[in-house]
Amino acid sequence: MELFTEGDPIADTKAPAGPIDRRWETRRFEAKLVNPANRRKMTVIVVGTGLAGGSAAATLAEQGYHVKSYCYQDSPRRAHSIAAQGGINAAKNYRNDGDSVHRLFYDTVKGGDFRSRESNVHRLAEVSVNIIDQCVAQGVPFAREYGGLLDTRSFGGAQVQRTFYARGQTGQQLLLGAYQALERQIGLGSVEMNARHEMLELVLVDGKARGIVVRDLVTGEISTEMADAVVLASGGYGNVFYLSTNAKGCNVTATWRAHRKGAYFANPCYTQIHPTCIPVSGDHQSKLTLMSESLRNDGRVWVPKAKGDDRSPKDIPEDDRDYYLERIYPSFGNLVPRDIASRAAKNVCDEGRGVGPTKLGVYLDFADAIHRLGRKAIEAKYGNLFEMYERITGEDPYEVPMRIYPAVHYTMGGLWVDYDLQSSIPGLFVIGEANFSDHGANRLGASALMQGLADGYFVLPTTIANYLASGPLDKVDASHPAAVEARTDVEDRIRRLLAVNGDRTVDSFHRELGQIMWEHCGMERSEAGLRKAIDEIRALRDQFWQRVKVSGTGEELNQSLEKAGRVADFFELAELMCIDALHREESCGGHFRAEHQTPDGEAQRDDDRFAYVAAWEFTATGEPSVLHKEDLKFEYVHPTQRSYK
Amino acid sequence: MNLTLRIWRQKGPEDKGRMVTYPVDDVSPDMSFLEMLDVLNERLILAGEDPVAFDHDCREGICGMCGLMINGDAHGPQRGTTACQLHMRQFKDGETIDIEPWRASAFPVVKDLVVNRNAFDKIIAAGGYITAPTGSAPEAHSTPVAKANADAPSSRRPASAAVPAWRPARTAPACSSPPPSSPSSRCCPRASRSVTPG
Ligand SMILES: Cc1cc2nc3c(=O)[nH]c(=O)nc-3n(C[C@H](O)[C@H](O)[C@H](O)COP(=O)(O)OP(=O)(O)OC[C@H]3O[C@@H](n4cnc5c(N)ncnc54)[C@H](O)[C@@H]3O)c2cc1C
Ligand code: FES
Repeated sequence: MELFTEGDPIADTKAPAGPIDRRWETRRFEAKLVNPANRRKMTVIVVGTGLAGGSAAATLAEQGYHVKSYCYQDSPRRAHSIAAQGGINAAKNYRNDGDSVHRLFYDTVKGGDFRSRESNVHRLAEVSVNIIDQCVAQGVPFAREYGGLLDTRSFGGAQVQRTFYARGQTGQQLLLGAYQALERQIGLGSVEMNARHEMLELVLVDGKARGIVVRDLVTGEISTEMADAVVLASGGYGNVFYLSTNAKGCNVTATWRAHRKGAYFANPCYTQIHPTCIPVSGDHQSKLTLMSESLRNDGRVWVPKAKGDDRSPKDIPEDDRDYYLERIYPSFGNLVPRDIASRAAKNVCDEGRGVGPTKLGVYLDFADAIHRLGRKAIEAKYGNLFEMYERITGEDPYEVPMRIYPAVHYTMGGLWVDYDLQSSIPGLFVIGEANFSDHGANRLGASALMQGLADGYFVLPTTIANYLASGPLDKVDASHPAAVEARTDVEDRIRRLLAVNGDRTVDSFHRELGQIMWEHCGMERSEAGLRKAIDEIRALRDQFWQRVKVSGTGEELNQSLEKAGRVADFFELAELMCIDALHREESCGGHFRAEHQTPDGEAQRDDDRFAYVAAWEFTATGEPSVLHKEDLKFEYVHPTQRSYK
Repeated sequence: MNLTLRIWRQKGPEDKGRMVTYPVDDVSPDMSFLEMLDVLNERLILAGEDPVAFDHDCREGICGMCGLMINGDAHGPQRGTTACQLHMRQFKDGETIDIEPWRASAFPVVKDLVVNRNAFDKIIAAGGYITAPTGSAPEAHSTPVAKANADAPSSRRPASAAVPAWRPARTAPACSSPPPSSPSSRCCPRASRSVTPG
């Protein structure tokens, strides 16, 4: 059977015409407005309370809409955004080092390896400056210079210092800002907060998104919630690999259920493997821990020059070390973008020059920086990261170099959205990591927080009004046949998961799925590997539905049931990721096909054939998906071979 | 390592609850405390028993989800370390470890080691925020903040530190486990990534 079929291309992304730096203003002016008195009568569902969902829910409520907000954690402030460490980009040019909106736009399009939509990226760069103002007004304690002004640092893929940060806890501090804005609206009664609730289905009425089916994770009660529009801000799907830097609960369920209902899934194979994570230590490993990219400002990456050099790092003299990033990429050195740094680490390990017990590791060495700046300065900058490293590995990074290895970190793919952040289902908007926009085939460091907040504070609240203003929509409630059907589907699925009562745990399946994905759809992909992976995933998925053992019942707090539902969706997503990776016969950004590389091993794009967004339409379980292509036009940043040498 | 765990089991808020003893063998010192509980749960599931419910998410010491009382200590024996960042090398082979929920009258038990911490969000909703509606912010550089104040860990930052004097203080603690017994500190004193001096 064919793996997929091809459908009509996507003709219109709804980006206004005209010069790029006028498009967002044009859109804002042309977007219809909703009269404040009418806003009160409209309900918007927002799934997710991370930076994207939290900021969107708070802002929509400030504007006067009635908002229903959902998250699976016990409090909105624990969304995975809280884990972001390094920082957030903005084109403030406070350093007078040549930064500008245009440069941030340029760096992002180039960093994404020319696979993102110019109009969206430009808007992101424009809005970036407002984000910093907004967060400072909320009291986010960004790092300051001696004189009290904001400090910035460098991140990968940029030659200017535009990253704002709050020690190693930027995400936490930004999220507390959004969370407080959200809590304020909860206190005012404008937002109805539903923590410990998981969205398990989308409700469509007359082709429009009108509600969701949720499960109360404490009581197991299933309910149907209706609204005028639905916003998904449910984060990324990196946990399809089992081991990743994502929080354990991160999942694809919300977006996958919407995909099954008709929302296109774009570029699922674009995943980001972060070069600096603590290596796997054994089979018990349940997640991987990131060591912030900011460490590459001062740490130097190296491996021994000789294969199998087992000396301790201290005993390896300078001459026997290979600072391979500095050697291969002299102009960006240790600060090359993530995809490049990750693959370089894989290559030296494949050559047999990896370090540590598993030989899947490279050194990140601070000796020079400690010597140059003093231990105190390093402690001030990275103290909390060094402590975290020591707690996990039992080694002191002030004394011995850190050992790091790439790990799955972020997913650039996600639900397809137009310029308004609306999916292919009218009334369904997707923001933050859950959508595919802005980062192309590779995201630059410190740009996810920027995108989440841009979408939530500034973009969505404008564009969703345009949709709502085109109403009023028919009144519908949970007794509508479409809503009842969605609810019945959810109940059936839970019953099926519980009924298998087999002999393998959910985690054991998830681990095995993760291994298949890491092996064949990870840092390097090939046609043979991907075909093999597709067969293996299908076989394992069949096994899952025959042998999985989920304990307990549906009418209680049941973490094993929650996991089972998520893993079942990961199985379906995994197959589509491999099909997407297989069909894209080129290398770009985080998608590296072994067959498509330059003579010196860099990613080789094929702009003639693949300068498009691959938007996949679901047909039926087990049936081939339909590929819709959105052609990418580059009017301002002309595609070149990306070079950081 | 071989350990004996004594874990608080409680089916729901109405159940009385009790400590139950479980031996666990072949624990690696490189495991985190929660990974050790994963091993136990995998075994319980296969044996047809109810796995131990416990809250967790980030598993890197920042989200505050994993509040546990370990041997009577919040988050266990290592200072400044959340349960998810505690590693088994902190324990001795043959040890018996007591694991209880981090309960209080404001944080009733939901199931096993899971407690309801909504009370904390209610405090924030009641006024623990700065009023800065989206779009109303002045240029970020219009109000300088002293470096020492910006750098202070949020648990030690003076109430007026991160915000200009004319705004109400930022009151949210940097992390979110149930407040510790000592009333002097506003937030969990042990969360790994939130209280490093710097
Ligand atoms: C360790 C780490 C460090 C990072 N550091 C940086 C950094 O320094 N700079 C940067 O720019 N980016 C960083 N990133 C990336 C960035 O943190 C994320 O991409 C971003 O925070 C995602 O925000 P979000 O709002 O889209 O989703 P999330 O913060 O992931 O929020 C998802 C929300 O959706 C809810 N949810 C999910 N599924 C469901 C469901 N089915 N039902 C109900 N609710 C659901 C969750 O409860 C949660 O509230 C980092 C990522 C990691 C893993
Ligand atoms: S699981 Fe997040 S702090 Fe422990």
